[in-house]
Order: sequence, then C-alpha cells, then structure tokens
Amino acid sequence: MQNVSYNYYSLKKLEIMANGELPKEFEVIVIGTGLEESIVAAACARNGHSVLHLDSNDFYGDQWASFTFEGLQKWLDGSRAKSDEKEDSQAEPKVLKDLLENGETLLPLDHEKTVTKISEDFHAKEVKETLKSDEEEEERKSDTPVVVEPWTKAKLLANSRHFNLDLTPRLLFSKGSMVELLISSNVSRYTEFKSVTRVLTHLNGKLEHVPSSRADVFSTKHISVIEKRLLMKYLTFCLNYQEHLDKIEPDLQRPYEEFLKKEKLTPTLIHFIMNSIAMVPKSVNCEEGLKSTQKFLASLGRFGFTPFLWPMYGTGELPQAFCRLSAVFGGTYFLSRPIDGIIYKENQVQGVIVDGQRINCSYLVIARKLCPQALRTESNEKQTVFRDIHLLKSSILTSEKEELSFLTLPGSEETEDGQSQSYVMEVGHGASACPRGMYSLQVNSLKSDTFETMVQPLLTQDQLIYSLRWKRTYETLKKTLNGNVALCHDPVFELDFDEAIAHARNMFDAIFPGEDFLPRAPEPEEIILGDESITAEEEVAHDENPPKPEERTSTEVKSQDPKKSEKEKVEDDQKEESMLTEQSAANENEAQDQ
Amino acid sequence: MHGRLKVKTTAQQAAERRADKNQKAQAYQTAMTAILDRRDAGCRDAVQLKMTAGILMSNPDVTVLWNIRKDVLQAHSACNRSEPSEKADLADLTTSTGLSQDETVSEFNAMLQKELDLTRQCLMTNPKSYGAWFHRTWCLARMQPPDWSQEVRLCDQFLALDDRNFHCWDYRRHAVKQAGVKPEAELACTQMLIDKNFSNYSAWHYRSKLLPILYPNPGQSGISINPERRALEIEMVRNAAFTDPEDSSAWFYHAWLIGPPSKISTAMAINRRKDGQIALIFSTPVVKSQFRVLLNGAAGSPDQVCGTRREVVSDSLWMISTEPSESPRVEVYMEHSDDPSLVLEAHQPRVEADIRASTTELHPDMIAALKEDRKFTEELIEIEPEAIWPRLAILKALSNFKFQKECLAESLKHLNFLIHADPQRKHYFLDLKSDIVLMQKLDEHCPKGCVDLSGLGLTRIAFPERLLFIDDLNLSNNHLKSLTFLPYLQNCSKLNLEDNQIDDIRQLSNPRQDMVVLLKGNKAADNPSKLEEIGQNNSNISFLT
Repeated sequence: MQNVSYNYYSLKKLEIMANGELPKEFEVIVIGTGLEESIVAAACARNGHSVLHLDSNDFYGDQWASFTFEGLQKWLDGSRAKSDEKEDSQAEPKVLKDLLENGETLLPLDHEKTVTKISEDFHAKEVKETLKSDEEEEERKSDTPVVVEPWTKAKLLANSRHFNLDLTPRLLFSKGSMVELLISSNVSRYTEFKSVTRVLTHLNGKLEHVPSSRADVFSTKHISVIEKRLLMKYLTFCLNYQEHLDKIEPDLQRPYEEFLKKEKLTPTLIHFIMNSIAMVPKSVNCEEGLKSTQKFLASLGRFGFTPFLWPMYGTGELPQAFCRLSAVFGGTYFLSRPIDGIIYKENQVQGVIVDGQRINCSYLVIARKLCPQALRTESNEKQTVFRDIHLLKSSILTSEKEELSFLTLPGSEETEDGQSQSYVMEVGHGASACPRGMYSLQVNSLKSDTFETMVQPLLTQDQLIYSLRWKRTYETLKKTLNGNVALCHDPVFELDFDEAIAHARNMFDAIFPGEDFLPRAPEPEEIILGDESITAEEEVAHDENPPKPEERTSTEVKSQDPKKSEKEKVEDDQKEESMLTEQSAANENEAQDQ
Repeated sequence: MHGRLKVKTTAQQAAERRADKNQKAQAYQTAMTAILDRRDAGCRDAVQLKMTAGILMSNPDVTVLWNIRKDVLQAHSACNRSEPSEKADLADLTTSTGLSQDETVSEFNAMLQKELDLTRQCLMTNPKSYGAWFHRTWCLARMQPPDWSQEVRLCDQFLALDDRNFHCWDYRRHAVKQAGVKPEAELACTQMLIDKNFSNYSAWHYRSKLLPILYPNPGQSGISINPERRALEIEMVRNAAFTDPEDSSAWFYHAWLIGPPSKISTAMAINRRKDGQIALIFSTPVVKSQFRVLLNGAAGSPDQVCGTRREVVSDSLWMISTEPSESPRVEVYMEHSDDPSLVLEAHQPRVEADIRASTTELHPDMIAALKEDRKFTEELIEIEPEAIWPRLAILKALSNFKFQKECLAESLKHLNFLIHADPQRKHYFLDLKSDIVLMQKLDEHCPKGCVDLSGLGLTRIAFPERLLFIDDLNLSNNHLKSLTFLPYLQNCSKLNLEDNQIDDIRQLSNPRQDMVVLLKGNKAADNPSKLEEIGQNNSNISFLT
C-alpha cells in the first residue's frame, strides 16, 4: 500500500493554474532540471514529500539536455552571451527586499560560465550545388533516398525537428546502475532505448568491429580460431573471476596488460580487451581491469547484441522521465521562471524568491553552477571535458544497415589521469538523432586534441555536414549536504550514469535518512481509482445523492466492460512481458555459458 | 482513505486473475458446446466460422475446430462448383448468386485469404501450434494460385522470433519447394541465422541438405560435396567449435562434414552349409529389394530368401534355403546392376569378396582434409583438455581410417579419457572401445578356423559379418551381454562364452548346426533348468558348464 496524498497536490496545481501563484511553502525546492536534480526531485515526490522543481531555462535537462537543431542554436546563443545577463536580476532589489524577514539575506543565483570555446562549422557550401549535378544524377538513378541538396544552415534549420542532439551523450550498460534504477523505480515506463549494434575500435589505422558477443566472435574474420578460443576462454573466466581468486591473487596489483600477456592473449586480443571491453588505460592494475571487463560482460545478452543501450530521442529524455515521475506524484514544475534569489539566514536556506514570490522550504537542492558562492563550502579542482558533435553524410564505417556504433579511443600514454579514453558514439535516424541518411557523431574526451589526433583522421571533408565543438568545465564535490542545501554535480566524465546516480542517492539519503530511494512506482492499472474499494455502506454514507439501484447496476455494467477488456490487455501484456523476461533469462544463460 | 494512492495487493491480483481464468474457461466450454451442436446439426455457415475463430484466436491447438473450418470451407467450394440452388444454405457466405467461374474462384480465394489471416494471428499467440501450421498448408493447397513466396517471407519473420522453431523450419522447406526458391537463397538464409546464433541444429542441418545440390561432387561417388566447398564449410564450423567447444549443434555438422562417404552396400561373402543353408553377407544392412539372387541362372521363389530376425527389415545377413543335395550356382546382383557382385560356384562351400579395394579407400582429397582438420581439433584439445566434443570428433575422424594400427593407440587414449570425463556416457564409450579393439583383431576380412577373441573387454560384437567362416570362436572373459551375433556363426561348432554377462540365451534355442557352447561364469549359467530345457528341445546344442 502506497500512502501518497496526491489529491491535495492536484488541488494545489489547480490553484496555481487559476491565479499563477505558487503555494507558500514546499518541503523541497529543486533548482535546475539536470539529471541529479531530477532524480532527487522524483525520489522526494515519490515518497510523498512536497517538491517544487524550478528551472530558469525553457527546456528540461540543463547541461543534460537534448536539442532540436534550432534548440541547439538557441542554446549556443545563450552560452555565448551568458556573461552579460547577470545585471538584469539585480534590477529591482527593493521590491524583493520587502519579502525578506529580519536577519535574512537574499543571495542571487550564480551563473558560472562552464561552456567555453564554442566553434561551429557549416561545411556545406552553396556553390557546390551546381558542381554536383553529375553526382546528383547518379544518386537519383541509384534510387536511394539520398538528399541531394547540400545541408546548408538553412536546410538544417528547416529539418530542425528531426534532430535530437545531446549536450551530454551517454550509453547505458544493460546491467548498469541506470538500467537497474529505471526498472526498480518503474521510471522505465517513460523511456525508450535502442541497442548499440556494434562496438568499434581503432586498430592498425583502421576501424574494426570488436567481437564482443558470442555471435560476433564466431563471425569475425579478423582473428584466428585459436584467438577465438583464447578470447572466449578468457571472457568466460572474467565473468566469475572471483571464484579463481586464489590463482590470480599475486597478479591483482600488477598491470592488467601484463596479466593478459601472461594469459597468452595475442596483441590484437589485448587491444580489444583493454580498449573496448574493459575500456581501461594502460596503467590500470589487474583487479581494476578484471572488474571493468566483468562489467562489460555482465551486460551482454540482456538486450540486443552489445552490452549498451542508447536512449531514444537523446540523453535529455532521462531527466525528463524522472521529472515526470515526480510530477505524477505531486511534484510542481515551473520552467522558464526567473529565480530572483535564495533567502539565507543563519547557515540555513529559508526559501527562494521566484518571479517576485517568496516560497519557503526545508531543503534546497541546486545545481552546483547555479549555487551562490556564499553557499558553497568546497572548491575542488576544475576538470574539463571536450565535446564535439559532427553531422555526417555517411557512417564512419559503412555497413549494409544503419548501425548504432560505439567507439572507444585509447588515451595517450603520457596522461596521468585514470580516465584518458575518449568515448565516441555514432547515432543515426533510427534513434531519432538526425534525419534519415545522416549520422551524428558524438565525441567526449578529456583531452583537447582528441579531435585533431583521433577523430579527424576517421573523417573525410566530403563526409562532414556540420561540426560543433566546445569545452565544458566541471567540478566534483565531496560533501552531499551542507546545512540544508544539497549541491548537484555537473555532468562528470563517465560513460554510464554511475556517479550521477550514486550522488543523487547520497543527497536523498542525507535529506530523508532511512527512507526508501525510489521504490517501484505502481502501474496505472494497479492503482485503485475512485470507489473501487469502498463498500456499499461507505458509499451511501459519503454520497449525498446515491443513484437509484437500477441506474447504478446499469452504469456498473457499462463501466465494467471496457475495464474488462483493459484487464485482458494487461494480462496479454504481462504474458508478453514474461515471454520477454524468459527470453532475456535465456540470453543471460547463454551469456553465462560463454 | 480518501486522497490516498492505493495499490492492489498481490492476493487481490491473484484472485482477479483466478476469476478471470474461470470466466474464460466457462466461456470456452459454452462456445465449444454450441459449436459442436451446430456441427452435428449440419450448420456450415459464416456463423460457424466466426465462432470457431473466436476460440482459436486464444487457443489455436483445438484441432477439431480447424477441422470444422475445413469442413465449412469445403462445403462452400463444393457447392459453388455444383448447381447454384444449393447455395441457399450459404447465403451468408455468398453475397450474390449466379457467379461466373472466375468470380467463384476469386471469392473462394478471398475466404482462404481470411483463413491465412486467422492462422497468422493464431501463430502470433502460439508459434508452435501444429493445427495452425497445418491449416495454413491446407489453405495454400486450395488457393488459385497460391502465393508460396509470401509464405517463405512469413517463415523469415517467425524464424526471426525463434530461430529454432521446428514447425516453422518444416513449413519453410515445404514453402520453398512450392515457391521454387533457389537453394542459393536458402543457403544465404541459413548463413544469416547461423551468424546470429550458431546454436541452431535446424540451420546447420538444412545446409547439409542444400550443399549437395549446390556443390555436388559428381566425379566421386559417395562424397556428397566438392572438396573446395567442404573446406570452406569445415572452416566455418571450426569457427563455431572454437568459439564454443561445448555447443553440440556445430559438432554434429562437423561430424557430417568429416564423416565417411555414404557407403554403397556390396555383397561381402557367401557361405554354403552342408544342410543346404546358404548365408549371404553384405557390407552394410540392405533390404530385400536391394539385391537379387539367381540360383543356377534362374530367379528362385521370393520366399527362398529370408532374413534371420523377424523384426528386422534391413539386415546384413540373408539366408537362402536350398536342398542339401542341390548345391546350385549362386549369383548375387546388387540393385540396378547387370553384373553379378559375387558368385558362388556349384562346387564351392564359400566365397569372399575383396572388400578392402571396393569400399574402404578414402579419396586423397578427403584424407588431406581430415588430416588438416585433425590438426586443428588437436590444438583445440590442447587449449581445452577437458572438452568432450573435440575428442569425439577425433574419434570420428580416426574411424574413417578404419582404425589403422597407428590410429589405435590414439583412439584408445581419447576413449580412456572420455570414459572418466563423462561417466554418464561411459557405456557408450566402452562400446566404441570394444568396436575398435574388435576391428583391429578381425582386420577387414572374414577369418577362418579357430579365432581367439578372449579377454579383450568386448561389450558387443560390432561386426558380426566377420564371424561367418569361423569354426571355433573363443569369446571368453569379455563383457558381452547379448547373443545377437549368433545367426552369423554359420560354421561354428564350438563357442566359448565363459565369464561374460550373458543373461538371455533364447537365441541359443534355434541353432543351425551342432554346436558346443561354454557358458560358465554367466548369469545364464545360474539357471541350469533353463539350459536343460533348451538342450532337450535342440539336439544340436550342448552345454559345457
């Protein structure tokens, strides 16, 4: 039985809609709709706490957003301009001051500029159109739906809606923390995914498939049968290496690469394992390497042929999905609201002034970059992530069908940082990332020269439609709760969402210790609506005008019929679901057999 | 409780489900009774089709309902062909009367098309419904013209859902044949499925049927595909074997690829006994129609040639009864051959063919392929010493060489390993070991006189044909359990079976000649009364215990 008072908030919402005023108090106010903020908002609302979730942007996700082409252009304009904006918010301080009580100060939001060095290139030139006529003819003859007109800025904007371009593209391990959280919280009902269809690596100057599943190993032509056996044998061992700890104990702290050599794996296999399966730098020790290898393998065979999932319509869908759960459980949402400042007194945040209205709160959850400096207690070293988005006319490795590719580029050996690989994803129309026939290449790197040294050589000038590059700084925080303020991380450099989820969870645990973190939300059909459970007497007692018996039976019959068919549907769905789970169980067995 | 989100408990859900189930069961009972009553009343109308469809959609396994539908459809097509007046009953089905021939056909086609839609829906709920697949076949056979290529595409879809759905595979083979799909396309289909998941017996097996058509080997009889293609296939299956040595589907295909060429049976030996009984031995079992026998140039009566075991149709031993005084010239012709395979002249007591030359020689290509493959398999064993299948594959390959001396030690080494590694199949391996040892001893010809096969650990006599000419056979101190080889001992006068595990001695009650049998140290010897009984009924046999 879930005890969530949700009618109360529905009423409040009506009130808000009626006069534009927000309630005067919430338990938790969340500022920023990034992923961590949204998870915390969902977890609080899910357990019945009142939540106000604000964002001064007119889109969800903040630094985790996915955009249409036009949306991306707007975001770029905003990011280029942001520094001048600050002055506006201090325009009418007197009016706001009236809202403050004794001893309270108003702290304006910080707008730390994290995105810099934006460079944008539209490669298609108008002139080309006339020169290309011969090619066009050929293309028409070949009867493929190739777009003939060059992809100029105007044309990209005209097709804006076909794009979902991510500020922070991520993959999900099929057995990773995000997938598990989506399932356990039932937020998965708001999300859709596509399987990554191939894992690529850069080997001997060429892009090649990484044989990552049993079927891949069988069909690859790049390694010998002996290598196939060695690889499968090694991967099987990694699946449950903990059972053989006695044998490998002495090697655990030594370099992983040495261990692989000791296991008689060939250089090609070592390259596959280090770069694409474990995805670890050369310096990593054996224990870490084994753990990373196992993580990859454990995610195999659950969905699709690789261990990875890509969110349909972009990563930006995920914060939105959590916001949706939060809203279903009574969370109140306001986007594009100017936030005038945070009310602060004696080391405690008292509330927030939004659009000239004071709202009190017990807790404030806020994105780090928006948090006033006065509320920040720690300052860590800034890290930098380099991002590229390239729109391509064809895939970096052409194939018969549209592929969703993942490529890990090794880091250079001199980098001391533990995570020196770069993650590259190539997504096409099938995942709704861009129009048909086009591919969006997403690069995430910690190094500034990844594009020049590793990505550019993979591309031809002809292939490029559009390139966007920028640099974003971020900071990781150690403290989860400071007074009654929780600071959310900027997106850190990772492939999945492990750190974001762990941090969101820690924040929630600190705010509401001992409470369940996002327990499974019931399906709509599991919720008893209206009077289903109320006995006849109760109904008579509550209802002022009970309908006449005949009428009641007739309405009951009417209302039963569609319900019944719905139940049948649900049962069918369940059947399907159980078939699916059976299938995935079978797959899992297979994966284990490997 | 107002304003609270309430969730149904699982008990509540379970009760709902139970109630739902009961309701469904009741609905099913009612509908079934109604349908069967209507059938008995001779209703063959659209209502009947509608009612049966209702049940079949949720349970496509009710065969009787499919048959009722066939009945209705047939009635409709039959009455269309006859006078229009009869169509009155089927007013629901036929919208207008007096249709032309073409219109009738297209209307019936439309009905069948609806059946196809229904079966398709049914197969979505249960892709392994016999009834639905059969009904589809039945409908297609009556469509004019049937669109079988559509059916092949349907199979593609269902195999994508479950690549090992044998119903679908079966239907596919039928559809492919009807649609005239090229074997090349089918081979590509198996390749696609195997690439997706090579644990697919059906796909591998299908290859073994397609390849002999696409890549025949006309020059050499018995080898089913040409050497180049076989090399490619061996390489492909090797990739599967190395990826997962425990996957049996790949090894079965491997066994087919490296297996011996299918042998053509030949007459091996003829033995004439003094009592006029002539025994014919073939290299592999044959049925009676596969050979002809001429006695003194004339075909004998069909009853003259008979088998030794009533229940066995295909056997390697056949008997010809003649009078002791006759001693005819015996000519054995194999099927479709005008030259006699083996001739026993009137004065001869026995004749033996030169088998070595005719059946056991492997083509040099095959020998090279086998050797190369063995090298790889041995490497696999080196990496995976515990694996069962590669060792079995080596044994299979060695058996192609008829257990030549140099192979014996290796075979025994693998067998001894397997007996310990896979105790559940211990007796199977012991049988294989017994066969190898016996083959070494009998060495490809039929020995005569006194033969000692004692103490070899034999569990069965795999090549009883070779025992034909033996006079004195010592099988003591083995692990034999059965006497099924006894009819082959046409000349044996002394049989030593001491210290075996023989229990059932019924075979001994029908001896063909004087024979002394030593049975000491067998279970059967513990039952002297039984021995006595056999001895009393048959003066030919005597027991030494």
